[in-house]
Amino acid sequence: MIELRKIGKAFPGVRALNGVTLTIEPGEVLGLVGENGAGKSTLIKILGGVYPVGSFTGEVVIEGEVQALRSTLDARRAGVAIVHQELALVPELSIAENLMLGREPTRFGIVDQAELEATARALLAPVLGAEADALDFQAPVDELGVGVQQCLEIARALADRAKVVVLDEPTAALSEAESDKLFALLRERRARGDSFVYISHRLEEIAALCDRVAVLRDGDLVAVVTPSTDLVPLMTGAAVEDRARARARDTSTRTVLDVRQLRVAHPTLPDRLVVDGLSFTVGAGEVVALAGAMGAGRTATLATLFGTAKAGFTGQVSIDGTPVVLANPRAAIAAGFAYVPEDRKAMGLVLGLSVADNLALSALGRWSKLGIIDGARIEHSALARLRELSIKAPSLGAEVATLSGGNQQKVVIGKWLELAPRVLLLDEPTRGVDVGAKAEIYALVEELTSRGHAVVLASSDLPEVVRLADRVIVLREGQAAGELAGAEITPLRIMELAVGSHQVRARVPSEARPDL
Amino acid sequence: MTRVAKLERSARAPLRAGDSSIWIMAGVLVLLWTILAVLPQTRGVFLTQGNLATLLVQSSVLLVISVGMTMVILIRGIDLSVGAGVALTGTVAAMIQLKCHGSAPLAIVAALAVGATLGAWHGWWAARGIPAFVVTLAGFKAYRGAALVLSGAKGLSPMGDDFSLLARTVPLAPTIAIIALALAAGIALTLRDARGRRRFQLEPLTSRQVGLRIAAQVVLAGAVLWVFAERGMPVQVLIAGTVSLWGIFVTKRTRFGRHLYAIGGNPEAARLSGVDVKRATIGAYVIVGILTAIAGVMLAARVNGVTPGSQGNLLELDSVTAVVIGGTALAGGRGSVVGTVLGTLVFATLANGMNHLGIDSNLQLIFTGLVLLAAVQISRGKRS
Repeated sequence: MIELRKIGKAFPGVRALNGVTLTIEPGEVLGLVGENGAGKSTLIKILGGVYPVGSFTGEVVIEGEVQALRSTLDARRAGVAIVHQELALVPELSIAENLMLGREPTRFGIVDQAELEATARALLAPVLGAEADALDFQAPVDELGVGVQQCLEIARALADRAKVVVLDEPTAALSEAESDKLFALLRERRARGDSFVYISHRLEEIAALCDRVAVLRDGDLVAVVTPSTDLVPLMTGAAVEDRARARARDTSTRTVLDVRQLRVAHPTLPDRLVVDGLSFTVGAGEVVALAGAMGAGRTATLATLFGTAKAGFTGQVSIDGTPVVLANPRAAIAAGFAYVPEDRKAMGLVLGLSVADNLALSALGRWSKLGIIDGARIEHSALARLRELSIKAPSLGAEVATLSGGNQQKVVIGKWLELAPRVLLLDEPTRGVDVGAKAEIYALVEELTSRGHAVVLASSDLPEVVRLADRVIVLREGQAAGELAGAEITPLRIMELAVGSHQVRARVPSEARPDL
Repeated sequence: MTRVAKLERSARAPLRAGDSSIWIMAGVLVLLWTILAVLPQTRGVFLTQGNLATLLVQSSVLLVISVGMTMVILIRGIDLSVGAGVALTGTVAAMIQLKCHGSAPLAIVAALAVGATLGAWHGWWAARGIPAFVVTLAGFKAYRGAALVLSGAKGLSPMGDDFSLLARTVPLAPTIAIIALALAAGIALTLRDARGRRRFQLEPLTSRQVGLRIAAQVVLAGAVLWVFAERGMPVQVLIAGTVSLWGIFVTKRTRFGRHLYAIGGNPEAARLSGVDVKRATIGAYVIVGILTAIAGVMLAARVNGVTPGSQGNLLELDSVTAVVIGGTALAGGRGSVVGTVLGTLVFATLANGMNHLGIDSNLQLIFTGLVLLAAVQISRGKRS
């Protein structure tokens, strides 16, 4: 049993945790939810030894013993394993080498490959079962899917005899099928007495998987409840109304974006296409969603429209009837595109720069004369964005890395607003964003469309698609499998089209799945 | 309510000019100078007009190069060819003077053209994703060789009389005028900033802030004036000072400068925000190339000739040292030209001070290495 006793932690100017007391029982999956900034990651970092003993108040007790965790290594030795969103496997090394990293069987310093694989297999077999036999232990892990890598990391932790495995947004990068596999693994291990802490923004996963749910809000433990409880009010402190789509949909608006016969080559396989003959239009004030499974061509379409296709492409694209050449992002921006990429940290933000500098990045040309920037104007406009998007930041000069995920995402969107783009390309705009910020981003998208911007949304979050889209184009293997509009837009219909209709048997992700 | 008001207030507060590591570095410099001013061995020797003027003249070439080096390091690059570039551009200038009897302006323009070309060459490769380390390492070898081939491996001296002007000193009256001009520009910029903030209803700079900034500029100008009050400002120092102020302005207040920080911080995000990464990359290397040529010309004037085999030896590493001591991260995206100016001065002060203390030059090397490590540790500590 793992106990957190009266854990408190303060950062300069912020109390991140206020005396949180929580126990993790053997054989349970404990859900941990809360908006970004509620204190989840701080709590996990204390449990995982990232914040060493002495930098926080309260006690971490494992099996009745008060722990003095000074480092992540200490925490691992004490039985705490944390599986981060960013996986900690070495991509070039094989499965076997990754599992045995740091304790390779050697003779005079030379690794015994056979023994290495045998030990690795023996470690993994009880965790993955028959699944393990099918794996090629000599293959580099980066050839495996993200889902398998994630299972591998959990398996490594369990093989290490971890007492608790903390999973931080494990399904963020997983497909539906991969998630199912992960859940099956967790259920099986739970039945054998292993403990998990499960952090996720996807409340339907929490409901389907967890035994108890701990809700954090502003550093306080608000409640520990059963997963069937309505969590959103607890997390936000106020009911977030999931407004029905109130906007009057005028489907006869002027066409802004016209994409015809878009074909995009696969980045590495020369004879394959990731987008194969896709045509669609988006009207002024319209949100057109591209749905479909991972790899169906959603992201590739957006990236190509923004002039950053990894390989060649053909097709005609025009904005307001004018054909545009999509040679590079600058050309796309000049043509009227703005892009919110799926990975905001890697592609959307310069994390080391300030909030103001990030907000100004796209429009520096407008704020400079003869190349000399007008600092006061930049600051003025950044301040306006801060208010307009209610971005919570300690100051304009604060590094954007210190903001929560939702606020970071608002900065990514905000940097385009000065340019008043004709077409906004949104790729997973609310991934890893908390419930409150999600609602704010939705409101922002609606505000932008009401001003006549056209929006192309790529999202794997079906409730989001249903919430925002006027029309949905469902992609399957790079082709349009169908188009839905108005009341036809339901998770079920999208899923049917995405996987090919007959394979769907009432798999509706937004609703509780009784037996997953 | 109060919390919101506080947030709002702090969000409107003016952006901090520079980070705290600059103040640490400035503090270190003041500390070093104070120590050297009171130590019995250096009292009355170090903190004199003559010695400080010498120190500044000796660090001028390094400073000019380091300003450019800062820009390429900011974008995760490096230029290892600057030492050899100093030799090659100096050789070109000397050949035009000695073999073709060309005038100093012609020699200087030719050297600058060579420097700019080499920089464009480095930038062209770097912009295509070839590591700058390798491209400029090739230059490190090749340009030294080119200088030796051009000169027939013979020393070239003396330079023409017109060229030697670059090693002279500006008389006192123009020195005062130049310093006054720089001070006036600084004050004008400060007042313009204050006006700009009012124009956009940002939280205004308090009169105390404005006063402090102007006071700091006056003190700095006064100190510089004091150092050169006896004999006027050496042309070398004038060039280095101008280049430094220009570098600070470009990195902090131009679009190009912002782009350097963005590219160094996250090249992909910069590209997807519409930054022309290739152009900025080539621009940064062209700047280093031109500054290398300026340094080559300055050095040729100062030593009144060029020794192609050894001129500018180790300048590339000394300049990386100065940049890193000044708090710029080799990983890119963080640092400043102000830091580099301070880093160069610390570097030069250490050498000058240790010479006066009679410390063996071999021991000096060890000590300088330790200082470099300490400086990196300080700037790392500030960041986390």
